[in-house]
Amino acid sequence: MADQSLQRFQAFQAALADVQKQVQIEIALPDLENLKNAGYKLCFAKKVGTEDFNVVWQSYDAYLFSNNFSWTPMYQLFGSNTFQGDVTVRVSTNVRDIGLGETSVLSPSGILQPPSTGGPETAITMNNEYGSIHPGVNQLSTGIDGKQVSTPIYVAVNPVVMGPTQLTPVEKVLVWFEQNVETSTMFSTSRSNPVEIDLTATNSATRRYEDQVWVTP
Amino acid sequence: MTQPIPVDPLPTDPSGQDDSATEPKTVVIEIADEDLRVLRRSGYRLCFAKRIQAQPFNVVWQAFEEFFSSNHLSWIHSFELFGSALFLPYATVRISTNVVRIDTGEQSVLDSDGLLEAPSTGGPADAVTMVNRFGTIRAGVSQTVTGLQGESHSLPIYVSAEPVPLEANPLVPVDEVLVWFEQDATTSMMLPDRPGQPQEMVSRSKGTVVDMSGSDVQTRLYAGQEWSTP
Repeated sequence: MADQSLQRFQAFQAALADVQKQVQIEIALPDLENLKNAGYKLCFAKKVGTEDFNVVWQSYDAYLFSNNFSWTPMYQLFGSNTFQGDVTVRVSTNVRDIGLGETSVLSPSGILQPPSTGGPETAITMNNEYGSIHPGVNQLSTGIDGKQVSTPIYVAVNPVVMGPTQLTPVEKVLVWFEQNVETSTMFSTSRSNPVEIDLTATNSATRRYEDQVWVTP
Repeated sequence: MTQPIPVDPLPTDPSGQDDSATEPKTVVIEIADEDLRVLRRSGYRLCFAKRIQAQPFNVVWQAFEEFFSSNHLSWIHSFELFGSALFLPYATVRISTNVVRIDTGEQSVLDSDGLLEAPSTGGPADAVTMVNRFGTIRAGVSQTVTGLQGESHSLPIYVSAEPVPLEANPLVPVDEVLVWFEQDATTSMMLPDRPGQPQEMVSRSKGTVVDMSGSDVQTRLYAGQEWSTP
């Protein structure tokens, strides 16, 4: 039995490794010096559907010359009562682990139910039986510090009404530097000097920040 | 769809035998104040679909970005037939062939050149019939609708998800409309009849099916995010 579970666990790990996506961010030394002196953080955001990037997935003080950030398709669904720029995501409902192709019902009492298979294969579906709510999604990432955390990638700017909502995570990340910003901060204006990296067709990409410009080495 | 097709004035029926053929049908959608606010601010559109017998609702007949506390949608017994090379959920209906005005009880032959011939009497009395002598083609039907702001267009209500066989294909329009709210839905957008692969966030309200077969006017109220008959 123990062997079987170990095998299953290893198979699961291998499957996840297959779908792991990563970005390598390199920062030229003079730029690194300037960014550090001015108190900038290295920030990541991830896209859902065709909506604008709107949550700081992760922000880091402790970045260095070479930084690796990766993620796997492991998601959580939640609901929030508000979307407000420049404040931290407020998770209002319980949080449910959920995969693509699964549906979770938000009950009339406002409780997200255990997910079951349903909805498009590429989407997370919230079937809202509660009323006006802002659906939100967490995704698991492995940060430049090696820590695995599940933090918000998206909160709907506007509330949705009773009925189904399909949230389709897209393999595009936004990377930028910003002062005084925390992980899970919502934003509704465009970021300054970002680079958008499309990992739809590839599992890894490298970008270099040099002379305040993003380049592909 | 490119441009809405202008329609001729209503045909008159001097016999007065068949009222359903001439009287417009109207569905009135009323929306409670608080619901209207939420729907408008969250970018929902008021959507209507109409059905072909034994088929799912699969085309957004009309979607309105501008809608109000009270909304009237009317339609008349006036159809067009077309062929389409494509069925793709969330894409706009593609009218591939020429378009012919057709009445129920009439049929049109899609000839080997891919042209729909002028309709003649044929097929079931309650159907518009496409006789496919061409090959791989999907059958489509448009119906004349008068939108919230009084403009009339002939717009697609149906495209067959699969190509139709090389035979007579009767399509029976049914006086049932589906009404719902959906973010980013557009007029003539095809709807998935099984789980599709949308590339965007799709959020949809509860819908209501209104059966208009026995009446000319029906009203539905959307309040507290639920549908009712006032």
